[in-house]
Amino acid sequence: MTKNYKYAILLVIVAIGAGIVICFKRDVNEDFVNFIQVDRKARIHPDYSSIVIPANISPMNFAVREDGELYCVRISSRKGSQIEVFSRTGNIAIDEAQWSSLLKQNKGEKLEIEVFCKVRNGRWLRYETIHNTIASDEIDGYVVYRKIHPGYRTWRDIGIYQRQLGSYVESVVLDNSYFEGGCLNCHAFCNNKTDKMLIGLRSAKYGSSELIVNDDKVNKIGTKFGYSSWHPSGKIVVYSMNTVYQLFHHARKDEYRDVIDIDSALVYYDFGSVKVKRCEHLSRKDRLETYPSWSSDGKFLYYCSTPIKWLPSKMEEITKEMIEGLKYDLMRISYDVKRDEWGEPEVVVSAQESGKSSLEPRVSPDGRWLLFCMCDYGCFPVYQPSSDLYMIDLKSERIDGKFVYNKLDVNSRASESWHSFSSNSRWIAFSSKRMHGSFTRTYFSYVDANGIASKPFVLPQKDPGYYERCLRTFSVPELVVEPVRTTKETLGKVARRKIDKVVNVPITSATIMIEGWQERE
Amino acid sequence: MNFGKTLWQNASKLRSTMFFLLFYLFLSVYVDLRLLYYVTGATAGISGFPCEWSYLFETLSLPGGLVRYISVFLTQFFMFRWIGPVVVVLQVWVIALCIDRIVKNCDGKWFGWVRYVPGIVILFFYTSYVYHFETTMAMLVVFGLFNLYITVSSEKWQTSLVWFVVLIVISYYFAAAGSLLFVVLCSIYELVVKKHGITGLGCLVFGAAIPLLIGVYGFRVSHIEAYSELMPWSWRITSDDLLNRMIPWLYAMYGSVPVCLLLMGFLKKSECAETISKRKSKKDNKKSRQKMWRVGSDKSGGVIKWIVSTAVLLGVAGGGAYYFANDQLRTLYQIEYYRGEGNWEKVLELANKQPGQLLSIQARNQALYHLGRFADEMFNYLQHPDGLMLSHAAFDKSYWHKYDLYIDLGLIGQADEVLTESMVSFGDNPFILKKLALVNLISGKSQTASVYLGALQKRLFFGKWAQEYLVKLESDPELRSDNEIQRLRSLIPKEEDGRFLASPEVQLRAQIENSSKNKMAFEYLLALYMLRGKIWDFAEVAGRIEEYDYENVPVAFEEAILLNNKYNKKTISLKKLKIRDETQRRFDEFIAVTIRYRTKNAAQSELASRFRNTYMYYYFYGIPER
Repeated sequence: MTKNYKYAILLVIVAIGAGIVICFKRDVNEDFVNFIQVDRKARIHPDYSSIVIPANISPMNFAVREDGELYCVRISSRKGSQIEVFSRTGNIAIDEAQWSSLLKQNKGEKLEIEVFCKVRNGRWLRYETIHNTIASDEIDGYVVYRKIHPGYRTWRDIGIYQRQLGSYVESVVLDNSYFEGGCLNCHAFCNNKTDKMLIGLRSAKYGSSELIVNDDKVNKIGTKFGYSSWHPSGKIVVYSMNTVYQLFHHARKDEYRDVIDIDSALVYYDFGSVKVKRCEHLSRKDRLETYPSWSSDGKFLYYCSTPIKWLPSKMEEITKEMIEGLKYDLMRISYDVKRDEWGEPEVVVSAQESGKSSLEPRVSPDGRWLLFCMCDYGCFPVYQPSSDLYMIDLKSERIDGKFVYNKLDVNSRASESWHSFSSNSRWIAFSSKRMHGSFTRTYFSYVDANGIASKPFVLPQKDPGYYERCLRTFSVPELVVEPVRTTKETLGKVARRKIDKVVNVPITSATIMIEGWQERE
Repeated sequence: MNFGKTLWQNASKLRSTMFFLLFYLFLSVYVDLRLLYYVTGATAGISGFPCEWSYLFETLSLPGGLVRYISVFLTQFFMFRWIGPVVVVLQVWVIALCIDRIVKNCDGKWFGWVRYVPGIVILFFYTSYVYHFETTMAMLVVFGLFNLYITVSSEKWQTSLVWFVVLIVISYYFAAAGSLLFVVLCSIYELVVKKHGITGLGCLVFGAAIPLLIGVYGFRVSHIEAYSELMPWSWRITSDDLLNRMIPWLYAMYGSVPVCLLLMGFLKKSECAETISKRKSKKDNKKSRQKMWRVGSDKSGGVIKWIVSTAVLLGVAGGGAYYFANDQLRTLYQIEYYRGEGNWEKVLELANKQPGQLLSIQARNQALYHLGRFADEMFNYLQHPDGLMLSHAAFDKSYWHKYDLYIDLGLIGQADEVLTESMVSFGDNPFILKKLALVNLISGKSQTASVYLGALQKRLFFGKWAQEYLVKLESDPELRSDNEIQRLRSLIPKEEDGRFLASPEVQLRAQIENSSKNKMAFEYLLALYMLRGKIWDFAEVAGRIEEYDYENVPVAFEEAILLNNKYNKKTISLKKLKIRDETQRRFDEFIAVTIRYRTKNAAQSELASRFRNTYMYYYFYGIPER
């Protein structure tokens, strides 16, 4: 009896195994000679068609959104063997090794994706080939972003993560479980490397502070930076202090949330003297200054500034017209790091001329491009559906002295923001709401030598349906060449310990008395 | 005769059966676990069970993941009134069985009652609507593994330690820091019960190191998580107001078995060690068990003891449940539950249990509107200006009480906001996701809605609903064929109406001023002005009453119109509609009484007896001072 029972189990296992082998064999032996050609491209999700991709990106799995019983996708390029993937669900899972090999052999070549779909009558349909390009320039190996629910006033699970772009491996840089549910935000790196890093924290138990990783040593200082930027020398960090005011446009269809700065100013932290210093031009009483960003040579600080239209103490007097009239100029100011001396500010993009608010400037590491957002008004582009990415060629500015900005082709009807350059200045990463409205996702685009940006693509995930049920936003994607070396345990430990350095923020003419805070993407 | 004998032999089983049966009935009938699952704000962390491999792998990739996975799966059944309690009772029953075996194996016959302790504490949790299912599940796993340890451990300290290490690793993987309870139990067992000092100390040392070695270095979780996850001191419990309400009891539950084990060891000393070293034959065991449960040699004395002990057990459980029962909270949860179900009669009935509660007032007004009685009967009940829309600052963060009303009023932006904050605060509860999907569909944000629908599609019991909407969106992105969505969409204020208007009241006004035929918004706006005593503002809007499809002017509005026309220069004139004679007569009588008395206070008594249910009375005596 027992023996029979064992035989029965064995038989079932063999039968299942045989079934799997037969199914698999049937798939790979499919005949594609007599297919019907369909005069359009197959609908695939995410949209990975007509894009430029780096050779070091993870397999771009996608789902075929066509009716069928069986799907086949062939991926090929000039060199190397073709990748063939079969699927009964339409979810195309590409082998990582094959993909990586194919891309690395064909830098600068076309990548062709053929989609076949077997319909009910047993005939195969062949859709138009999808043509992509493998860029000759690789993207940085990692992207660091914050993942958070799209809340506005509250938070629960919040973390900064790093994703290895050549694979699907995502790991925690620091999440709030390391300091008992506090909040963390605004991570910043120096020169696309991770030996210098900033992370802002707020915790009821451990206080508001900034974690500063400097040459892999971690310190906790007793002030929280707002938007910050490392000087390329690593000697100073300029950061903003913002007193924020939350607004709700409940009648607005696209995005009901909004944020404005009631008051803001820029100051800088000097690692040499361990002091927070100020520059008169960057903390004016009559203006709001924010979003500092250094040029790659460290000679200029780009930032955004607008005249203040209210008394910060009289928030109740703020009107709709004032808020809609809040348009930031894109400015820059020269700086001599050896002498610690600031020059005179100059307008790069005038709000009066553009009619828009220019925000979040970022200069490419090669110093050629200045990438920034422009939106209808305000200081928080991720809540502005009108926010688009623009670029200025700083090389031509050096020749004719004019800052000419161009709208990039990467934009959509939704908000684009939180952009960063790769270390080779050829790739940009940015947050966009084009795919899922309130949920920002990370996109990449290739920028060629002429500043032409290619059609963007979303960060690939192993499960092509991942984004369709992901209830978290991906924000502030920062491209870095190496993984964050400081472990989350170390960061967590420092986050939990007492403040290492108490810094006194100078009383600026902008006099930010209350630390502004709200939860936002 | 035989039946009586059998009954007598199974006296303890009868007691257990009675206990668990009453436990079940109490949870089903009184507590109603559905409230925990359905009512946003009742508890945090109920996220629905995603039926997908990625969720399984993700959950299992962390210590405690298995307990969490099973808990999330089982919690689904809280959705069903009669099945949820089965899950809880089964859990409590298995815990009792585990403790029973521990007690028997340590020959602690005086400690048989400990088996009921976790059950009673769990009963207190649910009576107070505190959700600790995951924590109690971790405890169950630990008790199970401790039983296994008792079975496999031997006299040789090396063998015992090897088994301990194997089981603590399993325990840590299953129950995360909950396994520290396993460490404590094994250490006490070895040190005090078996008197094996080396093994006991070994258990302590290895046990304390395991979270560090496996949790921190192996699974790369934080030190805090490694030593606290699924334990009463976890920050997830201590920092959450919904979970930390009964922390001392959670400690008591966790500590009850170790303390008893300690006492068993001290009381039984040599006898116990002997019992364990010389395992008795199966037959002896059976006899001993029968003996243990045969309370008293004398039958009548035994019956009395049985009755007394059963009465004490049920008395402690019942008394505790009575002590922890929070009728007010339960009623509020019931109101939220039935409001979600759209059972307005029931909402009205429940709200009347707490007439003065602002939350009840808000729900009752909403129920009255749905029953078509709001503007006629609102002053038959206690009213408060803050009770209409929970506009008091104390309710700023009570997001979950407001979204249904906002949806009804067409304030979809506000509904979206409070629902999103609810999701962030309380987790991805499928009911919140469902409402979020709906509000985004109503406001035409189909891309955002599709993410909520996508998440719901993978949730057990919600997939079909979500799938239907996803299919609908494919063929009809604007959902033009969905009448309810279209109706609610038509109520949304136009963008230019309220672009920078954050307060619902102002937005209601903007809606009315822009000719939006939102009858509920109209009535609520008038009611708001009436409740605040802003009769001049009322007069500005009330003139538009004929734009709405009223056959008669609602009674409360009639009274307010009469009051305005008497005291305000700007009178309200009606064209087609008329004030009913009955209302006019009542108003005249009211005024006559006020004239008869010299002061307002002097008139109050008579006015209260005759006109308490009128707006006039509310206007003069009911408006609270701000």
